[in-house]
Amino acid sequence: MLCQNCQQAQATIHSLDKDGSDWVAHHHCEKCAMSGGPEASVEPGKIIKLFGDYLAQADSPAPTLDKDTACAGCGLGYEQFQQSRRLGCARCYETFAPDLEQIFLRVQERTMHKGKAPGRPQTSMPSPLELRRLRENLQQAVDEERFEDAAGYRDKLQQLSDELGE
Amino acid sequence: MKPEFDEWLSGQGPQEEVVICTRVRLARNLEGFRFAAAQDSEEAEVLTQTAEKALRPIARKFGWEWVDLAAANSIDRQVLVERHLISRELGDTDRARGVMFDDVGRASLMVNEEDHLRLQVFRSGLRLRDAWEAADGVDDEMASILPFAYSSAYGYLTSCPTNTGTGLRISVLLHLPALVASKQIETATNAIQEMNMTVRGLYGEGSQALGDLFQISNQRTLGDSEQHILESVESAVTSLLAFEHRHRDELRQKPLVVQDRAYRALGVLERARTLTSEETMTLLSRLRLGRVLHVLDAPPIEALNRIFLLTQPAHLQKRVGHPLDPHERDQHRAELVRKILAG
Ligand SMILES: [Zn+2]
Ligand SMILES: [Zn+2]
Repeated sequence: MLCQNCQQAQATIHSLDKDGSDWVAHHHCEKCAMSGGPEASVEPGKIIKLFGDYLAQADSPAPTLDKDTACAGCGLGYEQFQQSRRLGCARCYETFAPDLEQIFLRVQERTMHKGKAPGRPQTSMPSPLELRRLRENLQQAVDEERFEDAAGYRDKLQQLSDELGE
Repeated sequence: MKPEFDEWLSGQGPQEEVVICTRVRLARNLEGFRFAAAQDSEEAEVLTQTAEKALRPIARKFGWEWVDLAAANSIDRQVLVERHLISRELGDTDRARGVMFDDVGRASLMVNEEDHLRLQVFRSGLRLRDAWEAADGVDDEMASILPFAYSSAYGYLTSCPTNTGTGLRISVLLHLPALVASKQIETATNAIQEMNMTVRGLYGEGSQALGDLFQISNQRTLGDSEQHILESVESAVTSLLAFEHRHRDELRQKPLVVQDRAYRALGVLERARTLTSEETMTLLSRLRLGRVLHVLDAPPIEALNRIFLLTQPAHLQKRVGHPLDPHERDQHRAELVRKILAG
């Protein structure tokens, strides 16, 4: 879908806004969304009422992904996600992005964050998942006799365990 | 754990005659850990310990006590649920988890709820900005210690897409007896829902609100800034307040009716030998309305809030020190109500 403002770039930001008593959908490229803001570019003749439609399909979002899709970060499968509507990890946001956009449009009427961002911690904290992944990589490198890689993983592991230890 | 000192019990704060309390909640997750729904038990354990250890300096600074919920007994957990310091879900599940909170119920931090961290700040009366600023400050301090799962497109990443973005839910608990009495409550709540707010009775979902108490909270967490959410909740609550006050003015025209209902409620509460929680909530509502319309001058609002908090099932059982069946609870409830009203 092309941006409804410049008609040139891909529209990546979709929002639903209330205009009087009507719900109005906006589809913008990032640049236009940031500069003019959705309101600046609404053309009265192009108002699309979407809210009713989204409500109607509230319980069954059209599947947009292959049913065997699973998140590489946490293992959550597509069917499980569709049933529970819960994400398993931060990476699920990329894995299930096409579905999420639909869900966001329905329940939030917005798809783009506005507001606070976290500062970064002064000290980095290694995650247990990262440790697990490193251990697996190390094992695999040893099994495949890639000793140079293995040494790299071992150094990294040592460094992370030192940080965790204190 | 001393629930009788919880700050909101004073009943003092802006718009105190309608607004019981304000709550601000922030949902945050740690980078590199799976969310509760996808964790194994080892990861839940590591996450809980990591968060507790890392946040100790903050806990010390604010005087928060740590409770390991997996080790706490079920009545203690239930008491925390009744104080709203933890969610029912966090109380009931059996994975590793915990909570930090101060001893006057102004803040709590749930660890390994549906999201890794859920910070709650409570204030009596309508104090949205005060509560938000406190939560915002604690959030900044946590972010300086722990890396939060965040993306520039979606904001703070949460387990459920209904919390993604700011992770901010602002709730205001309102006493709306005049709107209920005049049968305008449905019109009012429909209008509020049109403003993208969620309205629910204090307990349970969708069922009749007990004691004319309603909680208003923002529905949208994504795409609106924190300031915008604050303003939209404020505007929704302000219009509800005006609506309730208009109908209270009508009630002021018939003070005898309000006075009679309040004194009857007081009579039952002072004399009854058994009281169900439903009946207690209904009678408290009449008494509260009588007090704020000045048709009777005792008991103090604080006593009503104490009854409201301390006569819940787990609080009653904690007080007597052993489990009670529902009928026994009704007896103990009546006894405690008499005691509180006698001062
Ligand atoms: Zn554009
Ligand atoms: Zn995932």
